[in-house]
Amino acid sequence: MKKSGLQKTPEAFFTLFCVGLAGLSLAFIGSLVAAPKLLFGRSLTAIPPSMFPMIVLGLLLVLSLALLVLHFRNPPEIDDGPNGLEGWRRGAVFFGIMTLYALTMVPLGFLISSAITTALLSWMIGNRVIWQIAILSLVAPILLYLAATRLLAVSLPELNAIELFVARFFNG
Amino acid sequence: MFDYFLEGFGMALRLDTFGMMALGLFGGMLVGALPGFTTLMAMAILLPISFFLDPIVGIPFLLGIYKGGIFGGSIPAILVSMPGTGAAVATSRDGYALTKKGKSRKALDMALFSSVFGDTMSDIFTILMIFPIALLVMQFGPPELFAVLLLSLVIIAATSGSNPLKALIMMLLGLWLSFVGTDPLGGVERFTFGIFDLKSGIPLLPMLIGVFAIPEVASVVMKNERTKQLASVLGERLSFKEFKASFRTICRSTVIGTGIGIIPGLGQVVAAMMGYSAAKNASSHPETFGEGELEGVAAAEAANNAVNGPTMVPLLTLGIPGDNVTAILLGAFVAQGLRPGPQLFEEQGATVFAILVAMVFANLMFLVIGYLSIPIFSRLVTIKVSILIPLVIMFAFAGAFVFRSDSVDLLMLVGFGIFGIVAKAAKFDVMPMVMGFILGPPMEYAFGQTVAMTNGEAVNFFLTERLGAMLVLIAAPVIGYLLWRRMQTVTVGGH
Amino acid sequence: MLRSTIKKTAGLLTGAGLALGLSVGAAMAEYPEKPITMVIPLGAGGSHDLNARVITSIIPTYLNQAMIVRLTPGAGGQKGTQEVANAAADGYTLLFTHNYIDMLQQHVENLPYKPGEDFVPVARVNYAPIAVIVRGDSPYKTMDDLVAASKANPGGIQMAHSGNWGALFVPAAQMMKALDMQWNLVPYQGGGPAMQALLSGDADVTMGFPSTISAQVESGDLRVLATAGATRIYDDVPTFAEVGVPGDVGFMHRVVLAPAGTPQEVLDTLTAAFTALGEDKTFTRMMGRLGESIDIIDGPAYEAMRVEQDAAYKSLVESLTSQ
Repeated sequence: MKKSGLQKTPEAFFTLFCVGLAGLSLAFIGSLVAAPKLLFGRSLTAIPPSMFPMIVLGLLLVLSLALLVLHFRNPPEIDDGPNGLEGWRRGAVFFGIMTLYALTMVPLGFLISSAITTALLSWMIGNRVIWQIAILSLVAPILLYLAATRLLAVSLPELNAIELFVARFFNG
Repeated sequence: MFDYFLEGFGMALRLDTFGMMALGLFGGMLVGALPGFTTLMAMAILLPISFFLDPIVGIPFLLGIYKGGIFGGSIPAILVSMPGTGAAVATSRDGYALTKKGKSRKALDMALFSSVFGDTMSDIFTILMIFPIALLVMQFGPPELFAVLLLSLVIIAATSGSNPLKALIMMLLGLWLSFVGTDPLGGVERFTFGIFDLKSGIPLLPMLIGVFAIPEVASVVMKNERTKQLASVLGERLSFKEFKASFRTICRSTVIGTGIGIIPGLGQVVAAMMGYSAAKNASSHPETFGEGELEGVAAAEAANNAVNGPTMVPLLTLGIPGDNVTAILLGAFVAQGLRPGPQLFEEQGATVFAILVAMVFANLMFLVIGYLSIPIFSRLVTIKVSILIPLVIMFAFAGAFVFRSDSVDLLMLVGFGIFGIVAKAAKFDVMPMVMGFILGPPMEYAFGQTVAMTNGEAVNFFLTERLGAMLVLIAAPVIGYLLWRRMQTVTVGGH
Repeated sequence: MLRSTIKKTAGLLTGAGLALGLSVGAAMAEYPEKPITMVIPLGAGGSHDLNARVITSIIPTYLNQAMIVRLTPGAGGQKGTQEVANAAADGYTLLFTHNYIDMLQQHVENLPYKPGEDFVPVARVNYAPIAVIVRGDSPYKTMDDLVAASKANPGGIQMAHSGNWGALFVPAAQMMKALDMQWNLVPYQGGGPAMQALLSGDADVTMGFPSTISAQVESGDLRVLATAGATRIYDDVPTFAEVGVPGDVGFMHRVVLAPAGTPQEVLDTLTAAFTALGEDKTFTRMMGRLGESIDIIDGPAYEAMRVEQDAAYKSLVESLTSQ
């Protein structure tokens, strides 16, 4: 039995978020978008930099309000999703590990941060075979690092000492 | 001209050409399979090597890397829902759904066959019609580009499925995200809140991985059903019957892709999405698209490869590269003493045709190389999840970092991952958002150029000089509405 | 018992750290010890990228270490530039840029660094003079024709350029000021698309470097009306000075910079390598094929030019944007 009214679904929150985003941005567009520069007294660009944003934000505001109205009239079923509380907890841990990875990659270098992250993730997902975790976290990052820096000549962040060691190792 | 062609044909049939092409194709495929480690970079690094090789060996080698790379990008898109380029986004939808159903090999096969078909046909077309294409290319300027981009966005929103309103909202969100940074015309800051790292805008690759791959990976993690593998069944190879069923779509996508390749500035992303949308629209069961429909993979892949042929035309006939890849090819050509431009065919006709013919052969060779490699790749999804997912995350982060050598991108990756999960829970499709994000800047730029060109007299300008653009602009909402109506009537139910 | 263990461990660690640090320090004495990164603040595939690929493929023979290109486009060149400004001044991170980004940008943008203070030049690789070009079938046969038409129709002549304050924009603005005329400046994504716009008829005039336009000039598709520099590049085409635009107009210098504070020995090694590069036969041949010249001048010599550019661009920007 569907009731009329705004259900507290993720959908509704998301739409509300869009409304808020669009509305606030439009209201403060002057301070969010810098003024165009001048050349010979005329504007340097043919269209002001705030033009497209204003159009887009305006449409966003209108459409998300429309969606909210539609929701109000025909609320969708509340669906908890297949996850449950345990699932969300695991998700939180998962994202925690990834954030840790993002923050440690530069200070600790690629090899160390990847070793830590892969080991943690593997354990978290359920792997209990120690030698597998060891090989995964120690060998895989090294292989990727070597392939990236030696073959593809791209740079991954790494501690100075390790970089020198690798350079010495290859150049003799 | 025909004599040059024959001579070139003969010149191309060399063992070292084929050998280096095979090497390039295989290597390109591997590099392309690593999101973030772009084939563009691989080509740029190997460019100096090509300087020291014979032009008929060196340039096909670079071309091989490029073509292998395009398919390579589809591999992680299909296997772990991790598209490395905007062009692979359309493939990742159906491709990954197929993997979950245990049909990963079929999906990869279909991607391979459609890519090769689209590329080969488009290359042959280009060789036959180089000069007419060159004239056609000249007809397109900023107003036309803007019109076509707008039309593409309308089509994407109209064919996106059950709820175009939601799709439009996501597309607008994507457009707004594309505005963060400096505006493409004047270089003033927008929505950066004074943060320097935002000044160059939001990077694409972390967004792609974050929004497509992370939610899928997270849902596997969150389920905790002790699912040991992503897909326990490898699945059979593609059957001829299945290929035949999608053949019409492949042809249609090839035509679309070739057409889009002729218009400078559009590229593989638009081609893939247009091919996909067209196939969805023409199908009698559009609701299966996105749930694991082989035809969807075929449509996107054929189109995004068919773009390559005509892209070479401005490079060869004018010496003007249309994108970064052709710019590297330009360097390769010039370093070999070949001067792309009006006299290229007169001075070096045979050599140029040899290279073009080699390009066609590269596609055919890739059929074999790809076919043999696919079993190895598809086996990856049978690795147990507790090993596969950490590896996937490591590659994702490495790729996100390498993209711009910026550690802030890693945080963006995580941020977009969270966003992707929220969007999924809220039942909003992220694909229109990504499309809006990718197509926003070129659209704004083209519009700005157009207004600059008109010097104030917009309507007059459009009517007298750019009638084509005008017509497309008027047609866009009409086409959008018609497509949407068709989706409504064919799909069972509506919202 | 625990205390002594802790003390021993601490001592061990300190010793190890010292040893590592010493070895690292000792290593620094023989620069270069590991590959050098050359940051390019521009996108892939441009002429800058191509130049860099040639350089980095040959210079390792003179440095005994690889030199790796790292493309860091963004914010009009600021991203890569800032990265090098903030990098350690040990000679392992260099910047390969050009004078418009280096010296001009600071006068039109708020930069988070000071180019004059935060960087020291290693070597200028080459410079390229720009040329004013129109279509082969255009009604403007000489520069005077073009100027006259521009004055008669202010803002009616479409000039395609490669981006605000870029290598085509700045000479165009300088010309417009010196000759007192107005073009309608339409932006494009680089020199290539600008030239394409000219050829397709969307633009009436643009500019280009000899390396990119030579093929079309020879075939007659393009006509050159004026070139930068003190001497004529084409015999029958006047120089900028001859048509009334004097001064340092229309030159793009490609230069390698290092973070300020880089030790002198490191700079000397680098400069020596680049000078040797300029004499290298393979290098000369390849750059010739790319259509680029080679004109290596060392750091101190270019630094003098930088100072001049700084002052010149400052007054240029002031005069162009005031009103």
